[in-house]
Amino acid sequence: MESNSIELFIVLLSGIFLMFIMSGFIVAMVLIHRQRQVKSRHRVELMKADYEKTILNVEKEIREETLQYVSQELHDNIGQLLSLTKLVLNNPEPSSVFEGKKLINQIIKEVRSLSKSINRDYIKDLKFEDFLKDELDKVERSGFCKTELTQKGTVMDIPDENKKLILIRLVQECLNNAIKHASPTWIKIHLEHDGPNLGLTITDDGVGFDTNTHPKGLGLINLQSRINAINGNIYILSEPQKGTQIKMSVMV
Amino acid sequence: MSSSVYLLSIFLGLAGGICYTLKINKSYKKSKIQLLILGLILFVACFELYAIYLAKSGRHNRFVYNICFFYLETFLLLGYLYAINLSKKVRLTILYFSLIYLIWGITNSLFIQDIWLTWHNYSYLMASLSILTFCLVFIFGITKNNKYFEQPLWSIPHFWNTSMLLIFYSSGFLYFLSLDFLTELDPKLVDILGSFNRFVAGTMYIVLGFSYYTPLIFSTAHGK
Repeated sequence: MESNSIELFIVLLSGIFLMFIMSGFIVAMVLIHRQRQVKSRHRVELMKADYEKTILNVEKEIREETLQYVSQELHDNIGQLLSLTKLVLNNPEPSSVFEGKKLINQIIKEVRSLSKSINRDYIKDLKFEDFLKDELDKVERSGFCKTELTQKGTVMDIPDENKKLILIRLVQECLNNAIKHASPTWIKIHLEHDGPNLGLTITDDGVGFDTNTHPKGLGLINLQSRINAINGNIYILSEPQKGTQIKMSVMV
Repeated sequence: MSSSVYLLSIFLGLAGGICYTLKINKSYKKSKIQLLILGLILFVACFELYAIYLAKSGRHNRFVYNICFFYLETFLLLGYLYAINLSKKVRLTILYFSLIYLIWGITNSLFIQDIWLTWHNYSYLMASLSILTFCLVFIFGITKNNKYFEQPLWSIPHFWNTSMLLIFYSSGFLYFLSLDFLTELDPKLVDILGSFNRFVAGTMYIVLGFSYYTPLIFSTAHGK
């Protein structure tokens, strides 16, 4: 009987021991899962904060760029037109009144166009391809270099405003970089819609640079971090004296 | 735990499952897997009732447990584990194992252990080890593959079900394995072991019956 009790005790103890091992395993899995959840949520929160920061920066920079453009336009374009109008109207000949009216109408048009670009919602309401046309027009009008915009696929707007803002800022940065550093004779932008995928290629025939050395002034790291914020990809192809090609792709 | 309390716990689990199917399942989330679990508890309730009836009328009930518990319930559980494991590899392994288990069951019944008179404890060893393995794989897979990442684990019915299967089969398989030896023991001692086993089994059926309420209980209270 005593040996029977020992056998029973062993069976019982082994069963309970196994049960505890399994319970321990379950508790460990719950804890690990919970810990991973907490870590993942923390990571998502950090990413969200980073994204919001990027959006804020982008908005600020676009505003600054716009103000700079407006100031330049006021000084170089509207200021000049007003001075010209003043000179024309100072002329006592009757034909100069007509000429003056024409100039004032032109000034009104320019002011309207400028006020549109200052409007906070203007960028958000603007179609992305229209923005590209405007930006290239600005570059060409400044007489800096020739520009060209080409498109492939069905044109559609970017529904996510934040993505559009970041893309707009990326294009502005690329164009600024080309103007400041590359001295190109032409800049081409190719826009490609392939389903939900938007591809954008900015090419210039400027001085180029060695992509391995990554000069900090070019803000390439900035481009990379911004495209990362909208889950996009960027590839920069460049060689000294062979121009630069920047390819971006993003799901819109 | 006495047989009547054990039966009561099975019926409690069954009632929980039926209520869920009739009332909540309609508006919440229709799940075939939940119906499988409900069918399993119903099946257990039926064969346990029949086994108790046979025992009370002084007849052998080993073949009932052999067929219903060692084989049919195992196949139902393997079916459940097949449905919840989404990995192709695991599913295929479960399918292969089920086939092997079926062949083994037939061979065992015909040539090794008489299905009417002997406990099929070799088959049970295979069944319990496989169920334990597939449950471990499922629970481990949740963590490894970051499944159910938006919910706490305790709001997932399959987590509760597999956890209870783990606990039942880990504690029970030694008991069922040694059934032949236990009959030689003092009936009082065997009763203690049986009580403990029935307690774990009863808890498992209650959990199986009520596990589908957990998303309703936990997801909003502790979800995020």
